[in-house]
Amino acid sequence: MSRLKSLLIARVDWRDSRRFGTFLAVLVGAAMLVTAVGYSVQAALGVRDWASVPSTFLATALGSAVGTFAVWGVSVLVLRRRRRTER
Amino acid sequence: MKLTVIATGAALLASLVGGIGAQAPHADLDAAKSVAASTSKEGFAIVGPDGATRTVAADDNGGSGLRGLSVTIHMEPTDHIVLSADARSFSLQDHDGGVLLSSSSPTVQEGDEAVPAKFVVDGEHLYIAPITDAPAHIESECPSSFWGNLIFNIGMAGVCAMLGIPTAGAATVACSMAVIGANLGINWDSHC
Repeated sequence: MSRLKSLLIARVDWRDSRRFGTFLAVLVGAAMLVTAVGYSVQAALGVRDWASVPSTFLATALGSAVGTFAVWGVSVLVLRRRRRTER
Repeated sequence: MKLTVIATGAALLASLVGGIGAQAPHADLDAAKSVAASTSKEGFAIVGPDGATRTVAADDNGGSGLRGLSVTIHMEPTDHIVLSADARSFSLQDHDGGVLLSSSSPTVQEGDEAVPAKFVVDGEHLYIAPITDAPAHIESECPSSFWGNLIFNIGMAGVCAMLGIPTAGAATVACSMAVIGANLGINWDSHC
């Protein structure tokens, strides 16, 4: 728990790929969870059709995962390039 | 109980002509007086004030899973179908809001009984089905809404992730909450 807390409170060093990746994964996971609950609540209240929830959630989850992974991937590539330059 | 639709495809198509001697339809579809109408075996055509031709053709039933009558309306991209709140009135309107075709209070025959029906729209398909059977509208796949949602989330996830670098995650959390709110609030199917 304290590890999670420190992960969210401490400044994220994007040069630590593993830590940065974990931070992003935790946030995207939490966002997906809240979004799924939100869609379900909307469907239960009749605002949204249950049939539309899977496809809408798929687009949301896939988009978030791709967008986040792209940022993490770019950070890794930039880091590698820097290390090569330093050598 | 077996359902018989009195307004058969041909009768409905004929009824669309309004003043051209159609038999009494159960779905009183009327072409507006300002448009020219003609029928053929294949369907029914109306020419609006803009000179463009719209066609209406009876479908082979069964594709929608609904009991009732189904027709396909080939319309101009700027045309739109307007249904009343209870889906018992229908009109096809051009881009100026001029009514090209209208109908209200359809019925279908179940045995000897005329059952109130309503209109169900799925893209260019118009169904007339018993009220008890028909959903408000048929949920159909809308690829553009999927891709719109996907691209929006790719972009926003990227922005939120990058915000986390200088702000120790606080901005990412706030940004994610805003994106969640947007996802729940935006109706991606509204244009479909």
